[in-house]
Amino acid sequence: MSSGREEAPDPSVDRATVGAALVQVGTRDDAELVQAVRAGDSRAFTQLVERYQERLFSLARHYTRNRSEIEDIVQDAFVKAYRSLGAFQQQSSFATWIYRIAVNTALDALKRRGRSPVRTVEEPELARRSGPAVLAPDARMGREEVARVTREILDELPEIFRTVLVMREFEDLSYQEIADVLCISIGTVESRLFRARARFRERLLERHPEFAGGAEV
Amino acid sequence: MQCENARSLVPLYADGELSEAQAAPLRRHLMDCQTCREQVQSAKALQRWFVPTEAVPAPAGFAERVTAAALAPEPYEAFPADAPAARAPALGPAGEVELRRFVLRAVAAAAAVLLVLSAAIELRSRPSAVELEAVELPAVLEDLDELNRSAEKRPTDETPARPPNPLGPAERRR
Repeated sequence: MSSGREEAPDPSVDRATVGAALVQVGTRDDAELVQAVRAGDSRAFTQLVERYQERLFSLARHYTRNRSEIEDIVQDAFVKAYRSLGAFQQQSSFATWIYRIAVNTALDALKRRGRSPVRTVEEPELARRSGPAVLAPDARMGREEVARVTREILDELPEIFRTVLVMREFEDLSYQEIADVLCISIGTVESRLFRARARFRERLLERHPEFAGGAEV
Repeated sequence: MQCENARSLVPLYADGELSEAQAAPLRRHLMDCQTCREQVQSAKALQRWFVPTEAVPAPAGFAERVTAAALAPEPYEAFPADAPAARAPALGPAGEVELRRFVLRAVAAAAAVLLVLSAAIELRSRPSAVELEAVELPAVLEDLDELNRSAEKRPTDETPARPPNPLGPAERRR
């Protein structure tokens, strides 16, 4: 997950130099912006929102297709963050913290819509095996079709599985970042991802048995 | 490295979660083990189902709107259903009058219900027409009538004569 310090377009310049240069022209890192917000600088909060709004929109759309609901989730997450900034100890990064708030807000929104987030799913059988192998999508399916199938399968998965898959596969979060956001151990992230992928494979092959990859993996 | 160890590392390897020190022996194992290599290929094949979708851009002015919502003095509610208690307005003078009116109506309704109930109970406790039907009196009452009549014929100073029973034995019996 990005630390929030914006990068220069020239990749040859090292990040520390870029960071120092940006601070000189007025770009502050997350910790500085958080401090400024606490001191009453509302413009600093706007900057934080601008910095993370795209990420949160991207996250929220995995929980709802409704555009206005996505906006509500993201706005609600930022407002909650603003109102809780006093309690934010900065033990984790602001990015992790706001992400955590956004995930919880999205899950709450699902609950309100009548879909109760499943937080604990124990399936001993699934815990032992990862399920049948699947082939990668190929020319038989267009990119849009692949995205649609994946989205539909994700929608059917229990929330704990969907959330780790979204964070890992779409948001490209590391195991440690996922652990920090969800307040779970890395071992739990590992086992949850393992089970989530097994479940995903099973659902995928129910819909598209032609993508079976042979032996169980 | 044994296959069992290698397989436990495959998901982390495919996710780029292994350090170089952990990945190097696995890579060496993969060079020699077709089965474990297939495991890695399968993990990577699954990842290709998660195609990046188009970004959802924030609408223009979103950050400013969020900031305004955050700074608003009123309790912010993006999802009002979440906090029904917070939504309920405090009772003002008009609200108090309304509440008092409601309480009075409720009390009046309860009193009416009680009245109807007690009347119904009272009616049920009264004897019915069948229970009030006249029955044949025993012969002893006829004897009493006879005594009364004889007492009327012999009035004394000590015991005033009883007034004659307006109902004769025949009427009584009826």
